[in-house]
Amino acid sequence: MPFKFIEDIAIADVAFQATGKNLNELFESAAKAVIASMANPKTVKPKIKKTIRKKAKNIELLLFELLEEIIYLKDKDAIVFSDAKVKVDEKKMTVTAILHGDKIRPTEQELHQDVKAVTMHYYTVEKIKGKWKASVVLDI
Amino acid sequence: MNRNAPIPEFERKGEVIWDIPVSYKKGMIVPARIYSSEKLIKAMDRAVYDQLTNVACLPGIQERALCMPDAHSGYGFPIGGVAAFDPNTGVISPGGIGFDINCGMRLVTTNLTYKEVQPKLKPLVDLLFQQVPAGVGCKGFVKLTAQEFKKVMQNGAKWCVENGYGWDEDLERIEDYGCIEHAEESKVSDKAISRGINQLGTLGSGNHYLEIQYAGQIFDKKTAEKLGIVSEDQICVMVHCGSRGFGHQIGTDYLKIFSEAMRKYDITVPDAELACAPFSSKEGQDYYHAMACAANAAFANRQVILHRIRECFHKIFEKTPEQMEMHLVYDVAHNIAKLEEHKIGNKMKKLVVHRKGATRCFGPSRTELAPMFRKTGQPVIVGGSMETGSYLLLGTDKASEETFGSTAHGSGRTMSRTQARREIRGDQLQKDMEKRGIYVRTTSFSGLAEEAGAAYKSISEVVDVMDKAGISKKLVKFTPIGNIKG
Repeated sequence: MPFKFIEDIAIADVAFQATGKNLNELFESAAKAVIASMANPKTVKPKIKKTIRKKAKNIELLLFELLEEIIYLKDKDAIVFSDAKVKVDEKKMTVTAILHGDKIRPTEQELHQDVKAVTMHYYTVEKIKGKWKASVVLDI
Repeated sequence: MNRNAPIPEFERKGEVIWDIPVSYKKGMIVPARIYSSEKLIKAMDRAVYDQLTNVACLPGIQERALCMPDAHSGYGFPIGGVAAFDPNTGVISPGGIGFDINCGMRLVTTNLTYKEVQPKLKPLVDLLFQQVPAGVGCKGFVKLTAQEFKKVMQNGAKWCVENGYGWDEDLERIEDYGCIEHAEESKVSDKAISRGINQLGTLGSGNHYLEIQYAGQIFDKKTAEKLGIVSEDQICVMVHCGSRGFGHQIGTDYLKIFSEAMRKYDITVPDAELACAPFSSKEGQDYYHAMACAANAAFANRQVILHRIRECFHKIFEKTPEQMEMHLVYDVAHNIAKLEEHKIGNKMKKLVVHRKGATRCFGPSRTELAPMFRKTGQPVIVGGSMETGSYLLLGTDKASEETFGSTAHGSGRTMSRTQARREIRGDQLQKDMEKRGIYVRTTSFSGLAEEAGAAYKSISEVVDVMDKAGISKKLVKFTPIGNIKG
């Protein structure tokens, strides 16, 4: 499992830990955790393609920008997602994500939470023994 | 979250007052105070102590960091947290308000009785479920241009009434008459506008709801009558929601701005979610003005929902909303920062009061209240879980002296969302509640499970604490019969 929801971090919100062998995997895992917080991705058809491109000062902010954009698109375009492919350029400190999804259809999709925001509460992105790990709390 | 925070050596100042001295943590400028019963404090999640005492370390904090009995840990401030800062030397922090700026409560009366509504409850709830969108990324029925949306953020509920979504009398029954005057659209990003422009008139999800209730227990009949609640079988409608994606984006935008600003102003905080800036700085003032835009959008959101509720009742009961006396009792925020005057020592002083999961509860002497509430005190709406009921309280003048005019906002969670999902099945809960006479519609069964009554503290115990403290007095307890969940 590239991500797991953590029970004891946030009582009223949703916390998850994402991992990856490299930054591409880590960012993809974290993106998938946000996607799964909003809807069961297996119930969402990949009808619409969205590309996200972000640049930031450091790796923590870069992941924050990516996750925040996924939440933004959910509201702006009334869309939920089925999958994400992510590529990180650490030297340029940029990320490109290609997401597939569909307009929100409550009768067809298993919808979960209307995620409000990525918080900075105990927010970490770190490399431990060669493996990347991120801890994120989403405001619900 | 620090679940292993040491249990403080409380200095008990009364039956329901528990103080944490500054010696608890290095850096505390003022002590912290928790309003709680013995039972609630024993069950309180220990991270609350850590988060509340972090707040007590923030620059310019006045008198004490406060926590209401519905408290649970959040991010930055605990939920249920109240803190006041000197506007010249103190800070403003989005983490002391929450991303859902002006999340709040609204209560509406009808002259219908339980017996009249019960036979039509299902079609009523079904229609409301259709007409008041709820759930992930839901879109509202009010279509606006960006220009028009800017008028909403500037004028709040006033815009709604001027555009046919409400009655003139509604405005005096809303905190700040439904319009915070210092809103400045130039301080809001295009991203926030594009995120929220289609969401006016929507509930969202999480603990947001629209609920049909009856006034099951009236504690002070004479005063309740003044607010339009006359009998214990009277049907009322309660709404809980906020500023939707618009406010969430403003919170996110300024969290990033404040994280940078802290370096500039040489401020360090124990939790990144306590990112803050001096209230008088450019960043602090920009946020204060942007936050007012979100607060106004939230007042407008709940006003448009009230309009929809009146339409739905009209359709089902074939009477006009006026005939059904569908008056607004009150609308009050519980996630906001306001510049207010309160007593510090023997002097009245302007303070930046942060309320995060805490409700303003002004007493009769406050001139901010509309004349009709200057005899009763401000109505306070405390929303409980969908299984257990909610309360209408009244603010007291003692609150201005003790809690910067603040009280509790809800029951407060005791169980995490993940645990609730694991232990409770949403579809089964829906069936069980129907057997008990509560008809629920939801867009998400997992979301429904997360909001089960078992996941919350006893609301009666929470309001009893504030009643005993003399901060807010119990007026009516409402019992749910129909609920719409996001």
